[in-house]
Amino acid sequence: MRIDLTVTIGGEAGQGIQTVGDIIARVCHKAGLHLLAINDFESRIRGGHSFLQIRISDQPVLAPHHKIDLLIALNAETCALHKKEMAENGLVLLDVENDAEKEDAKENLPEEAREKNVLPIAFSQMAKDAGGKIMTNTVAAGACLALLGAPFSAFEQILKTTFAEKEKILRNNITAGRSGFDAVKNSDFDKAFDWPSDGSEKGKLLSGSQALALGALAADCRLAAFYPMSPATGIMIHLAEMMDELPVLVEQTEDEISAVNMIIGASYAGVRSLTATSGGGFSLMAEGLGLAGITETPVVIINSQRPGPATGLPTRTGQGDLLFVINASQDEFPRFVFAPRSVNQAYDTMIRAFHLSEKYQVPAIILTDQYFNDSLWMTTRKMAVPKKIERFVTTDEDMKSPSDYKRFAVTASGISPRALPCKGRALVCATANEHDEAGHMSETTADRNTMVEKRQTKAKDMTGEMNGPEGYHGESESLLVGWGSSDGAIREAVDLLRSDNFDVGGLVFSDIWPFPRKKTNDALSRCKRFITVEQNASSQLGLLIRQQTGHSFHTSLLQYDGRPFTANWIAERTKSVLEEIR
Amino acid sequence: MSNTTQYDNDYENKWCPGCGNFGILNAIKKSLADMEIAPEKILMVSGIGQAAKTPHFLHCNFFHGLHGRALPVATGAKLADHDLTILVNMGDGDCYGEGGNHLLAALRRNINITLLVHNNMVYGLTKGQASPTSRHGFVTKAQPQGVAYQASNPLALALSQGAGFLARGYCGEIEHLSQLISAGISYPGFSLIDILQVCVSFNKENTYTFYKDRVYTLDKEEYKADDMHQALDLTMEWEDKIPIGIIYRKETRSYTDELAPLQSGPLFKQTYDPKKIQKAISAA
Repeated sequence: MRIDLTVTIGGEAGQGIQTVGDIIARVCHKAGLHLLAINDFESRIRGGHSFLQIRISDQPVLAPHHKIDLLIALNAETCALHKKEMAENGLVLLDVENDAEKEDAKENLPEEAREKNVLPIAFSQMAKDAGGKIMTNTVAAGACLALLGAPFSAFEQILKTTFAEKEKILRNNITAGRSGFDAVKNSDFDKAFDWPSDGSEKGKLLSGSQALALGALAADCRLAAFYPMSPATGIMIHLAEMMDELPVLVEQTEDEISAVNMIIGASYAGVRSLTATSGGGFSLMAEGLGLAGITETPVVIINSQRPGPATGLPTRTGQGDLLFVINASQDEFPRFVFAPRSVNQAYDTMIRAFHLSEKYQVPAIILTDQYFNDSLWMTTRKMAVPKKIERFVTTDEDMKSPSDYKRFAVTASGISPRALPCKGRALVCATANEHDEAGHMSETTADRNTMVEKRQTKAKDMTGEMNGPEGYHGESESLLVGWGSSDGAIREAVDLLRSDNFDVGGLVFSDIWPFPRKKTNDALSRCKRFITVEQNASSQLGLLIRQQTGHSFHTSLLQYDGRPFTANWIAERTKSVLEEIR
Repeated sequence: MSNTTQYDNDYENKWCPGCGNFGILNAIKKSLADMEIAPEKILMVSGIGQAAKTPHFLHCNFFHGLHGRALPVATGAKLADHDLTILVNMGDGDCYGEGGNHLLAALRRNINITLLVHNNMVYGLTKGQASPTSRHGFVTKAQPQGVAYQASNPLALALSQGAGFLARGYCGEIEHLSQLISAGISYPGFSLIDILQVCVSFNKENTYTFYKDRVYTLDKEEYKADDMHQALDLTMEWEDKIPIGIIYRKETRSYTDELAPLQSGPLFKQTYDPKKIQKAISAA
């Protein structure tokens, strides 16, 4: 990579870190650069410490970097907290009250926050001069972009789209941005680069949440019911933005129990429906999941993971729910579980999950996490909308005798023709109790055995729908095995390790359940050993692989501190493991 | 004479002989026949309990869901297709206990669903424990010293939450109850009909005799049911006299009339337009 640098903007919640980050990200994106912006924040609206970290490159960015090249510190605490992460020639832009303070600023920094390259700038003073302290963010963004070597026109263009409708506000922001830009004119920054001149966007810039929402729309999701819970709420907010244009209704419910039951009711009545939550909410939905299972009602449930148990770390990331979602709810019934690896795949997975859920009349669960949902990613290909949606429903016209219709009729595939209620003469009867083919409660052993076997029969064809794990240098001696959003960090770690002559590849799962046993066996058959890389404390995927294939992982690299993986972390630990074997 | 046999089915009834649910079942059939709603045009939704089995004993579409959760299922179905006629059957434990939060939300949402609560003041399916409407002091195997809670007053609660249609029926007055159900179905918003139901197996206090001595019918000419304070007074009557009839009714619009995406018709009936969706996705 010719260009690869990381900018971090840190300060208190409520200081507008998001705004600075958004502007910088959009300027870079518009100029044709690649980027990934991650959001790190505490569970509070004001105060504390938050930061947004943007990694900018001329190549696709797969994961955050462990070193910071440019730190925009909106308070002194930010310097102290990130000091250890500063790159060799990193630079800190420190916000000081006014010009008078500038001289003393470095000396006034507490010992632990002193960094050799600190550039104090009176962001807020400049903002006030331009028309208001509120524009401190714009000043900071201007300074940052100037140091990166961006042309002012690129910055100005983004400001114009941001403040399009308010002329005076726009004028003031341009003035503020200009003063920030000019303030660092004479400062050197090692990592400044030549900005691409062609300036064509390399993809769409969007959050994981947004990709999931757009995928739901493309899948013809009509009802989305939810109870607010970080980090899943953003998905619903993005869907709600579409309510004026498209036939989709977002309904905020009284609790998660209601949300899951509501989408089951909506799906039974004939529309595709979705809910999204995190582990705590998913726990409340467990009984409803079973209801979808026994009534064979298709629904899609997103569980955006955060560390737990219980409230855990509400605003942080993790992968601790894998075994939970596979097993949630009492007794057994088939379900799909997917864990998309990227924004493009998340979009496609939504379409696929709705399709497969209706095809097999089973619930589909999508596992994402805070890191995936809240980060800004770039797409690598177009998000195409299916021309047609296949609904897998039957009507009176398809039946010899609608009055004899049986919702749970036994078939070879286990899938019964699905009619919708009140749409014809066929009566659609469903119950949470064990039942006969007509959908009436039954306690006979014959009906019980028939229905258990009918539901379980589906698993065979469902397994056939599952993709195996994706290999990256998959023929290598040692494989790093992970799932979901860790994909990027694992790939980058593989690159780092290979450049140091380690024979290492990656294998990342996105289709989790029904477990693609044969495909996994094939993928693991050639390696000498595999090491699992997961954000939980027991290597849940590793345990699942062992249970399903008999293959045991050599060891596991586990991180459960709520922060996303970096390639460096994975690569360093892999080296230790492999050097021990040598 | 309306034809109620069209709602009969062959499924074996599993209630105790003499159960108050039979009266309620007959009143439902009578109301549906009076309103000329064909069996295939009805969606019955229920939770868990003896009351929640009601749909199985009717020739109709039904979704018999989880304990306490009938209202969210029914709400989802109504949001998906607001042309559906939806009746919900729940018991007092199911609705006022396990499903309490959903009732509060349903009252505020005011979606056009008719809720029939079979209120026998005891748990039947689980054999005789106290329910939210059991009186203070009511003795059961689980509460051998008598219930130490106060009984819930669901109608007063509903009124305080802005309910638009409230009625109380009695399983022994089938004709009257069927009229209440019809009025509930005709109401454009959420309607709650609390039905005094006798449990011959587990409630030896609130018997047919108990109600025969106390129940009186509100006179439609005299009582207009349009004053919230008068209605509140009626919901407080219990010891010697128990009013049945429409307690309160106010003009309203259904929730589905308020939601922008439903203005071009039920969600179910709107068409999938890939071009429009692609445009929205590209613009996002």
